[in-house]
Amino acid sequence: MKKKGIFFSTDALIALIIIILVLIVTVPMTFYSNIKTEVHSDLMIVLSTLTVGEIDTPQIRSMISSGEITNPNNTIIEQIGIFYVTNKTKAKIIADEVISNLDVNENIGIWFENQMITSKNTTPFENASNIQIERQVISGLIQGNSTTGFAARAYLSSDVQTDFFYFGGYVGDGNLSTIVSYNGSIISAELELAINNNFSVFVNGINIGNFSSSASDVIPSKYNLSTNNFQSGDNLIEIKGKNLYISGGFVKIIYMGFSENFDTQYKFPGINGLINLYDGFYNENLNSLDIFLKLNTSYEVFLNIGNKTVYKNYTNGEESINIGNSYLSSILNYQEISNKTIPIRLGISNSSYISNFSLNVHTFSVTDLSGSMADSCNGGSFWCCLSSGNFCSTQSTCNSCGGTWEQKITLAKQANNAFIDGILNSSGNKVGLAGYKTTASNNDFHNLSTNNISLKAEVNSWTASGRTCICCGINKGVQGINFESGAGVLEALVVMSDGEATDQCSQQGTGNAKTDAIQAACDAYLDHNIKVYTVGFGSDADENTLQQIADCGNGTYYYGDTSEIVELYETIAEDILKASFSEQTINITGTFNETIIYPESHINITSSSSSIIPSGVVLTLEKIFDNSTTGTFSIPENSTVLSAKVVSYSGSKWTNNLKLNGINIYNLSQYGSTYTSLGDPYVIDLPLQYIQQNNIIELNTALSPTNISAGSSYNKIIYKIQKNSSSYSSISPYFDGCTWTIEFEDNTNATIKIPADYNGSSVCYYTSSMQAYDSNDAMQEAVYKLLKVLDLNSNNKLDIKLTEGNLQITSNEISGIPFVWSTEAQIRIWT
Amino acid sequence: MLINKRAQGWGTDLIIGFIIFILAILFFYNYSFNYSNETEEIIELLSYKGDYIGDSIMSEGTPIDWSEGNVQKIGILTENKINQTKLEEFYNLVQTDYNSTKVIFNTKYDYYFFLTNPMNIGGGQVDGIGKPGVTKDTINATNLLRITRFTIYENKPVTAYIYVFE
Repeated sequence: MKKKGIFFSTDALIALIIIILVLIVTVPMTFYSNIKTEVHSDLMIVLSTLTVGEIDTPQIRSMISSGEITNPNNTIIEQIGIFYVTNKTKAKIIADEVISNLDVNENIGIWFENQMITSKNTTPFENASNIQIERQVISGLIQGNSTTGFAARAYLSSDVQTDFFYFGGYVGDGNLSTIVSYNGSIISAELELAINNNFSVFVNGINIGNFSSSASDVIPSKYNLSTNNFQSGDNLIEIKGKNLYISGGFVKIIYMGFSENFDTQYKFPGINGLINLYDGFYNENLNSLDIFLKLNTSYEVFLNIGNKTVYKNYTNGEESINIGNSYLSSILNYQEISNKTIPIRLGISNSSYISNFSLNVHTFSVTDLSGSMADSCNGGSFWCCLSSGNFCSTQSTCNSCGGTWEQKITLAKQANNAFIDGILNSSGNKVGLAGYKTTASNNDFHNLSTNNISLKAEVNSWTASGRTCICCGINKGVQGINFESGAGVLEALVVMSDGEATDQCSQQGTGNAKTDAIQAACDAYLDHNIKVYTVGFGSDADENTLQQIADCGNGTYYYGDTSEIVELYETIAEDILKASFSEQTINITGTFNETIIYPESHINITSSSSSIIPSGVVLTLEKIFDNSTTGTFSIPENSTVLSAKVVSYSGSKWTNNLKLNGINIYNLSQYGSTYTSLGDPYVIDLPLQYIQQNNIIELNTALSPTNISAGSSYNKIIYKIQKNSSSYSSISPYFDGCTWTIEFEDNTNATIKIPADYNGSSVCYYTSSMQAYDSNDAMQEAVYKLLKVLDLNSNNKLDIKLTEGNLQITSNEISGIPFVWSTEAQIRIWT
Repeated sequence: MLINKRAQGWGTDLIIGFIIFILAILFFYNYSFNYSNETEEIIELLSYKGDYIGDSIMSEGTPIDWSEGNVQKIGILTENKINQTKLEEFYNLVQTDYNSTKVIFNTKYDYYFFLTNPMNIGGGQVDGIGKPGVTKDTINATNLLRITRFTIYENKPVTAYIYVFE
């Protein structure tokens, strides 16, 4: 018991000792933690009172004499503040000059915002347990002193204009020209064309370069033009070459000056060769039309507006023809064609004047002769076939065992024979044959020929065996067509298969039999302009691959069961023949007299609507389609749409239908089903009332109202918006400039000195990977803010290509007003 | 029985332990109370007076253009800088009647004011201003408090010290 008492008393003593020790330790800490001093307040007063001109040290004298300190009347704290935003090293030098002279026991330091300028201490601030702070906001208002700041305004020069001069949906054939008009000083000129042959460009009669054809008639190329020979006013741009045609394109110029409203006049392109124009024009609230044509044609020329022929005649040499409004209004229903893009067609009406007006067809039938194509029994009883003696390899045993006798190779031969007859039914056409198995051998090949007996003999010799090398068949067909390549010929392959591709081609080398087959079709069309039609034969056909082959070969995919394959081949033959007559391209062999339309020709369009006179800066934006059928574009916030157009690279087809946000804007079939007599606008205007913040365009092309296909993925939307494109800096300590690296929406970069004569070392960035500028430089800040405005989708890439010439900067030096970077200076002491 | 003994034992232990604890707490409070002894009171008082004297000297004084004849509050600054005229007035005032300055400063303690830089008074340099017969290095005091301030003298930032002592 006693032991227990002692034990507990000891516990109490230990607990008490612990409490006392804790108190002994904490009481002095509490006692000493409350430091009491006025030195930080005094130092702030000293720094706010003493001017740099008064503090007579060699270092500061040197700074004043060298101009680093521009105003000796600045207080020390102001001067530290100025250096804080311009050169922190100098700020520390000044602060050290002051603080080093002070005899102080406390830890003391000078801070601006949260950055320490200098300190005099024995223990680091990070270890401080007690801090006292004297604060003061630094601005030019300190004790009535004033300082000097700068403000800058950056804006796009409102007299920088971008204008487009469009060619039609199809402009041919021969030497082509247009008139480019502007008033001012040209900055740049560019051609974007889908053009069939190499060409030379002449500006005002002077050759400024030779250029290559575009990749295809639906894939345009861009060509930069020298501006040396351009002049303010009218400029004749001539595009010369052999049998040229343009299936869409424009001349784009950027110039300093003022823009005229060209929308009230449609200008015909100049054509010297064979007049063959498919185009269109837009009108709004049409009041009147009058047409001026300057022609020189010994052949009868017709001009159709919509589906109405408004002119049909030939000329006796060079003639000017005026077609007045009274006549036009009697033919055309203005109300019907108002507020629309109207197709116009200018061509030679009687082709009998010209030899061989239509296209011949050279086509190869590329047929699957693999083992699966053999005539065979489908679905017969296994045991029955086993006991039949020939494994159901004849129609009679197959049928007796309950199977269906499929005559694939037999039907394929019949289909090929029908195809041969169909194509050779028109004189001048030729058919070739290429059967393929594991390879495409000459044993199953027949050259292009008009001899249907020889061709059918080859077909009837075919047997089925081996695997399925579709690319081999395509390559063999291309080889056969190219062996006898001829101008003015529609070239096509009809590729049939009943299964999946199994064998690859080193010529394509994609490493996969199916993609080799697709690539072979792409090569055929892109390299040789040979269209590839495909036929899936039977239920085992690889329809996906065959569809892709047809897509890349600019053809059509057809599917046929065994019961309908013969009729299907007849249909394909008809479609190919129709295409040869329906496309816009006219190919001439033999001699003919040149026909000319001069580029002064035009249509004056008078509307009752008042045109918008844009105030502020007008920006022209281009947005390429998302794919071959759909384009999207958005209107930036705080902007007004002035115009919006879709340009369509329809190649030798017609732009058939366009919808804006689901609303039908353009439908060619409303003017008729014979498209060769209708125009084909390259530019389709979008009525402003249907344009929303975010917009979807759907577009297709066609050879006829029922033969519809996708357009070009190179189609684009060109729209003009009015936007407040200026920005102001805040009042800043200095006004210097920078060398800017700017990234544009097309992922190109430009390095631009702003201002143009800037020769300093500052570098600034407005790119997707870096945004950097000095906010204390008024000019840099103003430019940065302007670039933000011009970054319409806020992805740190500019939507508008800038040049130094575009960007204008003005500055105002503001004296007697504090610059507004007001910051808090602090004197801190700590223990 | 065994259970009862245990209860008695525990109760005694608890009482003894509790008494020890209470005694110790009382001792601690007595110790803490005595810690604020007379010396600390003097230091507190010196600190208070030192702050007062420091604030007074580091002011413009009353009236702003005071002189020996009309001074109500001794301050040597004008626009945050040491005014040479006021400094010399202060010096002369101390030289003339040191005790009267203690009255103006409302303190019974002695004081001594000096700068890190020598003060120029009447064409010569003086060590400091305050109790006659001492310098900053020869002050012999029982209790002394040093007040540190910053100010501007002859367009230079300087440290000013005020010693308050008895």
